[in-house]
Amino acid sequence: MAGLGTAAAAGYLAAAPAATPSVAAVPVADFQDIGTGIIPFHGERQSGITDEPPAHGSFVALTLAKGTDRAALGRMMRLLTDDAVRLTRGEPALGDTDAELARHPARLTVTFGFGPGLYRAAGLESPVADLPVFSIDRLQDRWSGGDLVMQICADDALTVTHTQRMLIKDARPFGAVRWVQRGFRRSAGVHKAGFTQRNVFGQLDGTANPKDAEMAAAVWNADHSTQLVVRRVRTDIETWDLLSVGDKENSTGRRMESGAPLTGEAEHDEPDFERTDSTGLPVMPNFSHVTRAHVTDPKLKILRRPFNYDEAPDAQGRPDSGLVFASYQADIVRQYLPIQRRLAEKDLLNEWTTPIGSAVFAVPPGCAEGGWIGERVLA
Amino acid sequence: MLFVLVPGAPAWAHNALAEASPDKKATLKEAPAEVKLRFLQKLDPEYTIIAVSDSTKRKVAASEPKVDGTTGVITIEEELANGVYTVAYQVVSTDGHTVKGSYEFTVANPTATAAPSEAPSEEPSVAPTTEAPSVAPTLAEKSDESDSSGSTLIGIIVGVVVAVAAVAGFLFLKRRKA
Amino acid sequence: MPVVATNGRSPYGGETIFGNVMLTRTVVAVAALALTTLAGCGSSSDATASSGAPAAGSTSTSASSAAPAAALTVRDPWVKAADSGMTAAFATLVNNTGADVTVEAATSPASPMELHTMTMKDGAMVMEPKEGGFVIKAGGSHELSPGGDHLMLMKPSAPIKAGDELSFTLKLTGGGTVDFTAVAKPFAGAQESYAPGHS
Repeated sequence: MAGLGTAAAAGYLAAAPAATPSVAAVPVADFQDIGTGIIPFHGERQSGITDEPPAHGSFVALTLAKGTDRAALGRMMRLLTDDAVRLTRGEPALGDTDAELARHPARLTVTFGFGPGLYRAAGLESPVADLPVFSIDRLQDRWSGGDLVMQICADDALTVTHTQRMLIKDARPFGAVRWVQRGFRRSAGVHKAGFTQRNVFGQLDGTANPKDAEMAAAVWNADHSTQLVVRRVRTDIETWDLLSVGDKENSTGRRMESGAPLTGEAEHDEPDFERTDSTGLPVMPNFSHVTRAHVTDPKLKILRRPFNYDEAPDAQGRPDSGLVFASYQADIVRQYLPIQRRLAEKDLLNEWTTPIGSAVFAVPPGCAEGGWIGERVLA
Repeated sequence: MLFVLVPGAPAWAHNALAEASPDKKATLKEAPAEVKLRFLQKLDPEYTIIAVSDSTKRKVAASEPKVDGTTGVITIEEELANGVYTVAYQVVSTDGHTVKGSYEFTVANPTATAAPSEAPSEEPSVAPTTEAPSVAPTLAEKSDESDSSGSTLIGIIVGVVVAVAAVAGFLFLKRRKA
Repeated sequence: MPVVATNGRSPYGGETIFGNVMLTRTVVAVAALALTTLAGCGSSSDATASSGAPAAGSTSTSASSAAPAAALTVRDPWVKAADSGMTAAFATLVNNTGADVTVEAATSPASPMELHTMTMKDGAMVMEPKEGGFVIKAGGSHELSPGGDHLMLMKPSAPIKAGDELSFTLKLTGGGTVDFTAVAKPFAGAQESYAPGHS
């Protein structure tokens, strides 16, 4: 029996040596150090946006305390920036009571976003406004809004936990925690860099992201700011499970396994919305997610950077899972809104997904060493 | 709490075409101005596609489907010449299952000019298959309809058969060794 | 309150370097930048290392015209925010010289100051003034931390709010001084009995 298994495995490996998970045990010597990876915090643009998303992400939104004015916001952002600078380097924050937890940054990034309420508190005009409520929305307050968001990402969940703790401790004098959404993607080492992650529906999620040269036009404004949409999208896995693979593929317009459009062979093939089958039906149904969401102009694309969530199932075993959808775009109104409007109007995938949270944030430029995030807005 | 399984309509009940105008395989003396399809279940206007193409696979100009309950109608926006036409539809059942199908009709107007091109083909390219299990028997008659769920079903059946054969073979080998 | 350019890396800097003689802001900023460059390309342990000896070296080079040496480095200073009453400042004091350095007093515009230490008395940690000040051994460092030695702000004149920046001066035996700026952090750890037994 063992012989059979080995032969099968060997055949499998021989057939597809590159991308398939190996059946053979990984030697200990192949240990890859993920813990010491550092993504520079400082720069014209904030980190944690166009870098390859790591395995774990947490979005922490705060509601500012009454009376938190522009000066207080400046103090808050200096404190939080200082924490982020140190922790992303693998150094403990000032007064870090668990300094040893800071030693493995694991590509830690901390990204700050300002909600409309923060600008109000500072007496400034907000570059972002709450999204309109879409017909498909079933928004809950507990997942919506927020004056400040801190996106904490790392390849290690404990690093995220410690960073979140340190940041919240320093943010507390200025506001209350409004919501925290934690999520995950494939862990480092599971795929090669540049892979498209799968969501809890099993779909490749993020195939249409802007690539390379398109990135700047899609994400960054001239002042190096960007804008962030965070939406909590609950997935109805119970009913999704009832579908055949073909039905699932019709809902998105992509193959489940390869992520290829129904008119193509490979994940990144451009979908052909004009192609019809032998009976005259469009191969990419006009109600499929990709057909509805598709844009080609880089200035209209959005950078999806979502994380899956999976909370405890209920007593009947029904999952509480979904997507902490996060997208970065230079201008929410120009890029995100038209896509979301089309999806809300018609998208078969809506049958199995429900937006239950929604928040928007302006993401100020990065800062140089010695500076702080938001200095150009609040100073 | 008590859960009762109610017998009756199975949970996987898929939508299916109940009535069509022009009818399947019909030969019309006059070109139709619309195609009207009635289904077993209510249609969702967002997820209803009806298309007509001629024997050269050219799409006939038509309106977006107008949906009323279980019925979807498209208005044909050109004069159909004599020839064979394919009506294809794609609708989504309430459970999310996509149902695709197609059938042909012929326009043979004695007063009209020459027909477009090729001779009418007998069947749509997809092999006729068994209908989805939920389809009422009355509809199964003379079904030249091709339903995408049929081929999926065949795939599953073939898969199961292969898997069963593999397991059986494996057990057989194992027993022989022992 | 202006942000003093005494920091290389963060809004509050990991590092504040002054010699016995006050350096100009510019010189400090340059020194800090040099530090930054060093620290920026290394891992966390490199960053810590570079903020030690090599940093002092680069400082003394650029500052050599103005100061004989940077005797004491104040690393990672911070103050515990307090709405009212006493509070404390913390940091790591690094002695860059070959001789012991003694901090014998601290001053701040924010409050009268005392140097404190924690000792065990009747089974409880209590704080008391540090006799003879803090001695930092030649080439060594001395940790001021919650639950340990600290700089006590005896009677702040105003609430110390999270994110406030406070300036301090350490007086060294022999007459030298070291200035630094520390940020106020909300902190609830290492609960100490500040008031009792202290007069």
